[in-house]
Amino acid sequence: MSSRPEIAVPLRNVAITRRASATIAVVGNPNSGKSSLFNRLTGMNQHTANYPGVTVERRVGRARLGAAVVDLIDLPGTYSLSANSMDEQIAIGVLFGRVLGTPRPDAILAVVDATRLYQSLYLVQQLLDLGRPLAVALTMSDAAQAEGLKIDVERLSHHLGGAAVFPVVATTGRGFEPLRAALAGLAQAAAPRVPAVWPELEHAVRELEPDLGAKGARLQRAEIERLLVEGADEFRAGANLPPLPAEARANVDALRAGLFGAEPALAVEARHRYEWIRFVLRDVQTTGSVVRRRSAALIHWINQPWPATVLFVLSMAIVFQAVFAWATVFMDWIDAGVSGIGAAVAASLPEGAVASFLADGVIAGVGSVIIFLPQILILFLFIILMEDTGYLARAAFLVDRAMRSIGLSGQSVIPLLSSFACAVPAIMATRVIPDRRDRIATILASPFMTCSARLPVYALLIAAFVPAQSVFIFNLQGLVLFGLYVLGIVGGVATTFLLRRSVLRGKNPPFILALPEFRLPNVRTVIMKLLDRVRIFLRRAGTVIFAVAVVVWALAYFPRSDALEQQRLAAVDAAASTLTGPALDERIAEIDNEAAAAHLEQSWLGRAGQMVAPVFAPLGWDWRISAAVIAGFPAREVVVAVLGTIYAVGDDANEQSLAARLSSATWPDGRLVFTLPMVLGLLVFYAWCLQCAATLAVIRRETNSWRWPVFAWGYMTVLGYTAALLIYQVGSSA
Amino acid sequence: MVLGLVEGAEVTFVRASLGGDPLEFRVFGAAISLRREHARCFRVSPVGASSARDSSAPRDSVASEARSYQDLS
Repeated sequence: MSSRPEIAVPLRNVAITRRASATIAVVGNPNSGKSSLFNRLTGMNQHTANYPGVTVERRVGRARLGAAVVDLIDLPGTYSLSANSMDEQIAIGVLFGRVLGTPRPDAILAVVDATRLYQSLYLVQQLLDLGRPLAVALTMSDAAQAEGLKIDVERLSHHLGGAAVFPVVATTGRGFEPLRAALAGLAQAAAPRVPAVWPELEHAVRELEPDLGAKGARLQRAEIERLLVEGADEFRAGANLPPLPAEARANVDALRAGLFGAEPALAVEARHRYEWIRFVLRDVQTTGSVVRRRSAALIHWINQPWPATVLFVLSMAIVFQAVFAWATVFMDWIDAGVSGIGAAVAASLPEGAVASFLADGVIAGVGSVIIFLPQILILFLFIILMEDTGYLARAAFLVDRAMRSIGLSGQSVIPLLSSFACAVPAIMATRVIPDRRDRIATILASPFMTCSARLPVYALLIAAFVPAQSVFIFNLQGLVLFGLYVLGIVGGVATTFLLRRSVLRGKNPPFILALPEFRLPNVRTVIMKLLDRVRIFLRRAGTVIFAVAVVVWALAYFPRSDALEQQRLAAVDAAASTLTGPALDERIAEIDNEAAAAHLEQSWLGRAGQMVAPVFAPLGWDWRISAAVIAGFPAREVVVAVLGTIYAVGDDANEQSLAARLSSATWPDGRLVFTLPMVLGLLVFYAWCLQCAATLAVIRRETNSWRWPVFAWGYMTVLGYTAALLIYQVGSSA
Repeated sequence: MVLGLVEGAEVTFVRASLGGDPLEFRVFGAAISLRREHARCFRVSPVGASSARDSSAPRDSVASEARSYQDLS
């Protein structure tokens, strides 16, 4: 620390006044403690964005290391320099300096989990081939000690061509001082010698260098190496390179034939590298007596199938309890707060479009976004805790067989459970699924799960039309709600089942899952991840939900009819001349509500409802339900509010009064609109329809194509419509 | 493969998951999981006495090769 008095300056100013002297990439396997290390080095001095064109997060932080200032890039975890996923492709791209807007790192900090030295060294070895200055942070060194692993740091450094190795504990900060000191000058340090792992490959690279190196296609040596192993075409596709000259191409093919023969190249590479790793391990790692901890025995016991199942069910029950019981308290506060502010704004402004826009458009729109925050926060917190303790992989391991029987994989389980709160974070969470088909099947199953936005609609219709009688020990209303949850699950399962037998047909991909050890999560890392994801959720879903709320408001508000307004004023005057006191207030409220309903009837939304009503007539819906359903297509949570306005129960519609209105609504000829078959059909429609623009937007982003959101929307709408039609027609004729 | 399931690697069977699939193995101290159908692709042979107690394993320790690579890459 400098002795000069420091004035706290905002980060932006720092960026201008102090240029970073170097960029260092932080690279490591998934679950290697990379993020904790990154957070400890950079503190809060970091920002997150996306890499251009993809949904992979780009985290950059600035570390002040004594006099030096260094930029650190936290790359997505990878096991090797051959990409299997979008995340890994980005990590590798940055290392080769191929990602737009991210400079090629000057040096590399390899993060190695001391308890998994065997697998970690694979990547380190490939990183050495990059020929750039490199230091190794040996994380979890406390855990390794506890497991009785002794690692000879100096011998390891020797084997890694002289790269400095620093044992650290990221959670406590032990061992960070020497690491910081080394990072300050790392970019200027010499690159470690490349160990002689596979001389034949090295020779081949040297032969290609005249053609493809600095004077030819301008590839770095390590890139030529990847090109040799992965094959010219695959490497080019991943790296976005122009085609090779024909001569070089023939050369590459000839060299590959010599190196790999008929064997898969990646397998040959793995064999060579692991042979070297085993040789190194025998020299640097000794297994001493394991410090027997009671926790180790406990963890072993918990991992047995049956205790693990009990634990899994229990933890999922806690998550559900938290998301649906604890979060509701906060959601009610937000709801009350938002309506309060809306009412206050409406009251303080002269009546008209501006007041309505602010109160019913903007404030209600913001409200409809932040109402989800408590659930999202709690849900994300649990997912992050499961990730950071290593439980996520264990849960996937546990349920893989069950999930596979319905055409998904073990890793689908957490996204699917999340989608009971909201499909948007669930679809974002499918990134942990490496296989593309499994991932798309999971994404398409998610919107079927009963999300919290469906609940108000269910609650309203069930309270109004399902009698509150007991069936054995159960409440019939509760049974119907439960049935709707089951219906959602059935829809999702049937969908994946069908998809896996049609569009997404294919044999099971190899399910190789690294199972990390249980460990205590780092509070700071958890909080930072949580804030990151909430920010992404607000940006992704929040903007869409908000925009939808405003658009729906406009459709329901415009065009205004002066005649209706005149009528309303006249009615109020008439009432004022005959009534006084509370009776007058009541009458005025009634008049206002009826006027609002009349306005809605001739608004764009009302007209649209009347226009499409014939489409929904076979389902037993009148134009009002049709209008509410149309309004609900971009965001289903607005349906209750729209129904409230259409049925003229005012802004403070409580469910009781609205339910009463609904059950007395009639067709022009006097028949009741809300009959049991029609209500059941409507409920099933809501259970199966994809009425959520935010979900569609997130499917589009995550699958990077319009094909899947369009398919999901069309398929689910047809399904919901058909089911509602069948139920109404069969139910009414019976 | 990148996780170290290569020729000459010493593998210990740890446990099977619910319903007997997938399987958990340890490769040099690190736990990994494989589905039964893919674990079947490896050729293994028992090593020494240390693995004898793992004889309940569907396939025991050590050495994988050849055709498996195609599936696992």
